[in-house]
Amino acid sequence: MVQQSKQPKPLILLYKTPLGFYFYETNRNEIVSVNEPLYNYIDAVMKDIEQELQQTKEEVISQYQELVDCGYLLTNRVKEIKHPATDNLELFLERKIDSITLQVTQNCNLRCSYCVYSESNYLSQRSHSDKRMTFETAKKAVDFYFAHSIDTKGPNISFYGGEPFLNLELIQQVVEYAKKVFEGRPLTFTTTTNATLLTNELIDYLAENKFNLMISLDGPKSIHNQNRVFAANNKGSYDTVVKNIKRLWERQPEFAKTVSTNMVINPENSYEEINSLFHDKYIKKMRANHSIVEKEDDSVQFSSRYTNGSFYNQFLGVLSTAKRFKKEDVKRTTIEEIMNMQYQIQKIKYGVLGDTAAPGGPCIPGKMRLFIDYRGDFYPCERVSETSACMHLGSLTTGFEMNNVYSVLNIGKLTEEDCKNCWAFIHCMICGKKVDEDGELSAEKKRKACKESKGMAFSKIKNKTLLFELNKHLSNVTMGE
Amino acid sequence: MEKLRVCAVPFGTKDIPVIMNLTEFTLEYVIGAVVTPAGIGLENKDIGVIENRNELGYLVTSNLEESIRSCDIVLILEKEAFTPLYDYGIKAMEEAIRQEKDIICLLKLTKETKRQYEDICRKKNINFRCILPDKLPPNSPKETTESFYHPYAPVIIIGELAEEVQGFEVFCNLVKRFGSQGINVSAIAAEAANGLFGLHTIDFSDTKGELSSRIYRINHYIREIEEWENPELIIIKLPKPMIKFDEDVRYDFGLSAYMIAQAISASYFIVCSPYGFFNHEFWEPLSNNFEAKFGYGIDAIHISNKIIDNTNEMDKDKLNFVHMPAWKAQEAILQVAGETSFLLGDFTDLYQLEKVADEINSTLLQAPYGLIQ
Repeated sequence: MVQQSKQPKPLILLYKTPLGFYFYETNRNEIVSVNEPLYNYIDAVMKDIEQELQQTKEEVISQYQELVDCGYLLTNRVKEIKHPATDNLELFLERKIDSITLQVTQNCNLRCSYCVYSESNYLSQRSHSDKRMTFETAKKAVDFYFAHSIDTKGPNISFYGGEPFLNLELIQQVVEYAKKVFEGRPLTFTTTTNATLLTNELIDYLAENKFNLMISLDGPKSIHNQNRVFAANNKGSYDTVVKNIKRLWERQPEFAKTVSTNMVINPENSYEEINSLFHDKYIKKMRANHSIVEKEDDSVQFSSRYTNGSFYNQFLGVLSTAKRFKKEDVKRTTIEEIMNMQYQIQKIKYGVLGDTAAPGGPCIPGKMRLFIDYRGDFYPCERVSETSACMHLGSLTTGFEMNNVYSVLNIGKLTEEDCKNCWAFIHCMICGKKVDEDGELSAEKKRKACKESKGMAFSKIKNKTLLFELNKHLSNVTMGE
Repeated sequence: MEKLRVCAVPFGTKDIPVIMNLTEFTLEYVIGAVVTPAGIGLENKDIGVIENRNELGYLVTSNLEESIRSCDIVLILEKEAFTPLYDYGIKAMEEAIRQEKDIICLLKLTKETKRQYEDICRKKNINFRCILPDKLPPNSPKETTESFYHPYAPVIIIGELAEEVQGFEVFCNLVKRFGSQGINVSAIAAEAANGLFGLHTIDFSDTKGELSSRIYRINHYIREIEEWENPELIIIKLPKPMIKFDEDVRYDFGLSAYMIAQAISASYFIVCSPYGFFNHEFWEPLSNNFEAKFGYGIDAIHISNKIIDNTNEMDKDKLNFVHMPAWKAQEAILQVAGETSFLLGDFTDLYQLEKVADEINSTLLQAPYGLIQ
């Protein structure tokens, strides 16, 4: 039997829980459950613990070998980092841009404390301004999209700001024009709004044009008003937003069912208090998305009032997946997290990494949702810095700057050797936005982002394991025990 | 006799074989205009552009009114219900009625809608022809005791690994190819255009009776066709992809293909695939799998120029494709064709299809010996 010491190491993540021992096999994107002696032996192999290797029973070593023979504990690595879409990038951008996002205005009537466009908070991003997209530019954008989407089955145009409805006239012009241009195709429109400008006429218009509408709302009045205040007088916007949501439901109830809320959670607040938002008779009927507030210096604080409530509800949420707890009694923000978790863990399923591959983070820049700013300049999405040179993907006048597109797609090349040896290769979440440092793609910044990305990948793996263990455990236990 | 000019509307990806073959199969017709809304992106372009192919010789227009005026008959092409193109098909039909032009309708209409259009057309003296699928023969109480029918003619089956990977075009090309050789072919497919071509359109998803009973009914259906038409060759295109693609894109899990395989076996099987699947290591186990599941392995593989776009998060239950230039796909196919023992090609290209026809000719039609079923 070949001793495993000093051999190339398998590309795996070895971990244990109170109930079991496992490894995640990167080359196959699968989780394998093992017994304790085998776990210890794999651990010794990974860490070159000579003594453990010497003392391991032959039976355990042969179990290890059996796994190897079955195609696990593989030591091979990706040979070349290259995104699979690289060779067809021009084709995708020529025929299949999925969606575009138009920056109809850079202005906003609110000044949210965490907003990336706040004059003081984010030095690496543009600030609020009076700049607006003209119809001439918007028309060119629609024409460009039309010319580059013959293979797109369901074209979509998003409107983005600032607050998009500050330039409602342009939105209406674009909708009218785009419906003509895309006649015969199922064109859809999307907007995220702070909902302060929703009038009866606007609600009717949005319903008539079947907008995918998302309303930003951060919590009950006490929380929402901490952050989301009017630019004009610094007063909280909650009352206005909630009044408009009520108006939406009363005026266009069928349309209202399709509208969702988007919450930016500040975890310094209490979990219970945040979720009390969903006591509102209208808001509780709406789909709800949320994210944790981002700060440029990563200084987000989690209070115990948040984490205790969140963890407890996650526990209940997980039980609800096994039908051991009523889903309706789990707090709304956690229900969404559990749904997301179930979606994410589905991504851990068999698939073989080839010799050429790329870490999982980047989308195909320009294809998924090409962001076009008020001047007609291109960016991968609305979340990146509009002042960054490396994120600038071209313009309506020059077309795509393919070198930049290739670079943003292949950020894995920045840290090629690290990536090849990383167990989280497939589930990496690092995209160009995270790597942008003063307008350049930075290997150092990418490495800094690795810890968070690996944490998220491990979280996925842990959650899959948790559900496995829960279902296995519950299958041995009857209700009431 | 002068041919009648047909205005085909609304044109979409699936319609290339209908346009290309209309005159071949229905000698009295010629394509006069191909119409689709301007939003499809084909205004004044060749129909091949929709699949990134070389020119196929028909320009597309969005001028519905004028196109209908310039033609004798309006052909409403088959479209999925509840889509903008279906609605455009209805709009075209109403324009045709307004201009008092004869109509051939491939759209699936509800009974009520069909009756309404028939009434209006009758009053206006317009010829309204709706292509309806054949009906499977009724259940027979004796079916389990009757012997299962095995056709005398060789059976060629064409199946797809994903939807819209040009299976119907390959089917039409084969039917045309053998027809031109003077061979009597019975051709069966689910596409409504088949009925227009004088071939058999059949709705295999007819849900009457037990699942097993449907297998007997399909078998009877084939028997009836063979008895009536006495074909030298039977060509069938399977209605849905033969396997689920993945956990999200499941189609009908290959149940239709399995059901038909129980009713009739293939003497020769052509599978149609998205672009990029070239390895013998991919096809050999798949062929073995098909052999075990359907009772026939793969003989030839059509590689389309459709690349699967698995980055599209918006439409999870359907595959999305981007079309690579057809000439590039063909070049790549020619380069790898020798690396596998399967006959690999782009069979929308009649030259490449000739290899399949030769193989069928030599192994099935002019074979020196063969097993009697």
